[in-house]
Amino acid sequence: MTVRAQDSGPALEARAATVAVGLVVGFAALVMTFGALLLAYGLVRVQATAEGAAWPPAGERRLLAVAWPFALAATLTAVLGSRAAQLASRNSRAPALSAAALAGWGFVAIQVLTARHLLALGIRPSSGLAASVLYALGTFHALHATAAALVMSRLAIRSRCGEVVRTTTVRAAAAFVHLVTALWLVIGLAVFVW
Amino acid sequence: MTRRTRTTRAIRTTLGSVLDVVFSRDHKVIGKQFLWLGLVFLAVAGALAMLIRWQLAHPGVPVPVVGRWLFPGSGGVVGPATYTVLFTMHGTIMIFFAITPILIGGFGNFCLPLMLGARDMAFPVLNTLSFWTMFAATAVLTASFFAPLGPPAAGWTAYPTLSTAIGAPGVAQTLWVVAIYLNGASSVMGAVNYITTVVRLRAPGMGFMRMPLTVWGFWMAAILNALFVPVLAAGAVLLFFDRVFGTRFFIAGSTVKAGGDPVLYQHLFWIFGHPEVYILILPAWGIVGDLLSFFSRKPAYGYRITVGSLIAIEILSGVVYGHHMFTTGLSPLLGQGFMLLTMIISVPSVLLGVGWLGTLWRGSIRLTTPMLFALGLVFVFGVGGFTGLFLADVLSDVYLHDTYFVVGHFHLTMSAAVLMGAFAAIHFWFPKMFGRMLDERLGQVHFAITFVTLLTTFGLQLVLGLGGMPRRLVDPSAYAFLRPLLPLNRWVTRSAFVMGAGQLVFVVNFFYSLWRGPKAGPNPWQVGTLEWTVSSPPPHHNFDQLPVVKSGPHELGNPAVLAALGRDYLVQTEAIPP
Amino acid sequence: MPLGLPHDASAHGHHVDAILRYLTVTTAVYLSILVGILGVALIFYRGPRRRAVYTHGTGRGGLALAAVAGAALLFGIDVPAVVRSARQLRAGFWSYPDRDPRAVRIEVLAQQWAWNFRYAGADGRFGTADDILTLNDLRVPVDRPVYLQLTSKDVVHSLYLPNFRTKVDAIPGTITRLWFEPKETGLFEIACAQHCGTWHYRMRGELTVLDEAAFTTWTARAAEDARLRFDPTDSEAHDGWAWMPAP
Repeated sequence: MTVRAQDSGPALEARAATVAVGLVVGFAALVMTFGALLLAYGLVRVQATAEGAAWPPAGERRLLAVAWPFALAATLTAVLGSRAAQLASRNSRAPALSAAALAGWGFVAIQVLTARHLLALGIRPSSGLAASVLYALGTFHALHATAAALVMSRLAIRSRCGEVVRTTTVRAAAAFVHLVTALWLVIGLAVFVW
Repeated sequence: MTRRTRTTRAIRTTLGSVLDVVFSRDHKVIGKQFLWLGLVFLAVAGALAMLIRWQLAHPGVPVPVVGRWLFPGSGGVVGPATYTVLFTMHGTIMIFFAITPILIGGFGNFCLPLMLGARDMAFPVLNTLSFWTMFAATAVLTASFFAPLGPPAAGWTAYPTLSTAIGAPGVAQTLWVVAIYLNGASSVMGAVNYITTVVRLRAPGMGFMRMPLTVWGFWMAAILNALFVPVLAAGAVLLFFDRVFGTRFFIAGSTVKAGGDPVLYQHLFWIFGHPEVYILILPAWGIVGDLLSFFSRKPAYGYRITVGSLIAIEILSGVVYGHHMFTTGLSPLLGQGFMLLTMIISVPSVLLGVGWLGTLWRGSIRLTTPMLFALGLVFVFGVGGFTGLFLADVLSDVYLHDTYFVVGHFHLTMSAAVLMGAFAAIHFWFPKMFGRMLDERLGQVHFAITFVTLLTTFGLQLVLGLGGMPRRLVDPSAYAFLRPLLPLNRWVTRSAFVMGAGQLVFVVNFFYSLWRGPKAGPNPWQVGTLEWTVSSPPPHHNFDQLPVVKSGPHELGNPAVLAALGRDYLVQTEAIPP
Repeated sequence: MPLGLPHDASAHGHHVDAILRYLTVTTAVYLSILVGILGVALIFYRGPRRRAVYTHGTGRGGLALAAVAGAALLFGIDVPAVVRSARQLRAGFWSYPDRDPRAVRIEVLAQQWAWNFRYAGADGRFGTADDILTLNDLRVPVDRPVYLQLTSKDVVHSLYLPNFRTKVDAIPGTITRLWFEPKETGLFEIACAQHCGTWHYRMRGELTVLDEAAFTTWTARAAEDARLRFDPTDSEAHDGWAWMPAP
């Protein structure tokens, strides 16, 4: 039996605040991980373009051109997923949760398709620095997107089965989805726009 | 009900109970699980150190007793390749799988909710997950010992390109990276719990300035964990990708056209690595602050200055990391910047010492075993901390970098001081954890042997470093200028062997006291923090009624208390008499 | 004051010895004060016979003590050391002899597990047919700056010259630099100071400091050998780079 730390007073509100603090810390840690990865990308890029060389490096010019339509599709899906998650956090109902879960899996699917397309064109992680960046950041992020999709799916299934899903839980899951989307936006901007 | 149904039910209930304990969500159980795991790996890494010391004192001589069994291929001799594995795994295990689980996982978990007046951590399920992730990490690391091309051998720092496919082909290094990542994930989960618990679950009346210094130590360590372990994770992810998927982040060299930068890893690693050493010592600093007060029977001197110093060190720890990279060709601007900042971090560290000495001064000192170890930390950290200045200064660091001076410095601060803190913690909280007292006399003997040998082992290494002996050499006599240092190496080894043997006193004390130690009451040390208001060991729910805090953690020696209550300490749930 | 340091054969290494001595003395003094206070407390303030005095150290006394202790460390050790060392570094280690015509320029290629040294030869350019190549054998003239540029073929190594109080990492993909000035002739050792694999401990080189005449003789003979041995098809031998100008 889980012994809850709070056992008196407006317990639910207090619990929500505790969960919020935990989420802030956990998200800060995640942001630091991705931040460090982006810092690495920044340093790689600054060094590679030190003597005025272009980015992507020679021999990798077509990488971004090939990948950006997929990235755009992924971005749209991610934003849709966040929208759905936001709706769900307000009403905790099955349709919104399912939509968010579907969008999540859609995002992951697009990322997988991106990788397969690049590999088919002979662009591998070992093809160069820009490819290294895209594959590493993309894969690592996609793993977290998978986690978000799993969380949303479980909530959607529980809701469909008639279980009462607590608002705190949905809000926490929605916050995670927003974080994953926000991280993707930053990665997308850093890799495709900068 | 048939007999079969009854048997099935009995099996199910027993299995359920076993699983409930194994996957317990009780912070006290999880804390003990971390403690056991850490102690086992402390022994393993200690044994590896003994093998290292044997080879350095007697190069080329087969290791006695266990040599032929451990190293059959070389007739019991520690060969060059084996040696690289020994120092790699010694460092990796000590830092990530011994100290971290013992102090942070073990005592952090056990003490925090009790000291704060809470029933458990904020997220008990996450806590369970944190321990089992650590366990998974140990499984992966253990597996790496059996890799076909040999265990990991790139040092605990795993610099590329030695740690990439260029220098370390084979699966062991990849497993090492995975183990480190899992270990980091466990630490971050723990950090989320500790930070949230301190922020949200303090009992009513416990303001931040009424928290025991132990809590401050764990809280500060947790914040560093949450912020900087992720940077190590990022480095690990990129190294993993370089090894497994052939990315180019760290790959460079005149034989490989790749365009990556090995120094990039060093930046990521040390942005984590320097805060990590503070993560390891902050809990010990906090514990010592409390213990010195408890066993001087007076309040901790300069509580606010101590807290301010801990916070200052916390902030500065993130901006000094470059002092690990002075020989990589950093620009003079960066070199001077990091030198200045690293020197500055010595100031709050010394202020901690002022607080400790001020607590002792005009106190009523009781030399219990926890107190002995706390005093030991004060001395050992004093010596080790000052040697840090030699390494902060670029001019001296260029000569001392990668020599045994560094080894002596970090063993004095990280190993000796932290070990003193860990033993202090074990002796202090053993009664609360296990309901029995450890033996005082055995504790004093253990302390005496450990204290002296820690100083001689690692103090002499400072001398070896000044003499120019580089690190990570299986046989220093390969260099003529190091041959005169062999006698000194022999003394370090003798000292280390005595230290190792001395730990048996602790092992005997620990296990004997577990079964046969005198039963402990709720408050054997007569102090006022909240964990001593409940039975030893505490009930599952910690407190029958959640406490209301009315005073600070170090209300000792107050004449008003003595007059009103007839004892020299006030419990935190009691108000200070007018 | 003996610190057990190896013999110093360099013109500027004594600055390193000086800062080591300075730090040893000042930290010893500071530490002695702290240990002294600790010792006195342990002798005179032992309970239970002696009662504790109920102080918090939060008043002006505590603040003053902290201020004094902090200031003593900051202005007694930290700041003087930083100022002295920074000045010394800028004038010494970081003051590369880019424009000194007397400096001998040598390229160092570190590999698992040996040191390759390359001299420019008569034409003064690296990577040409008259380059002198040696293995683990660094020969330099006395009383002239020796200017090294380093890189590595494979993993990170570190060129360590204990008798010249200096070292620098050799990093694949980067060119690092180091300079020193020998002040006496003799044979000294070169060690590798960065873990670079199984045989890291045997990555030993020899640094021979020769007087001017001996160095000229050696260079001439080595150059002749290099011309005779030059093989344009040997790709392993063509690891030199154009000398990197000062940044």
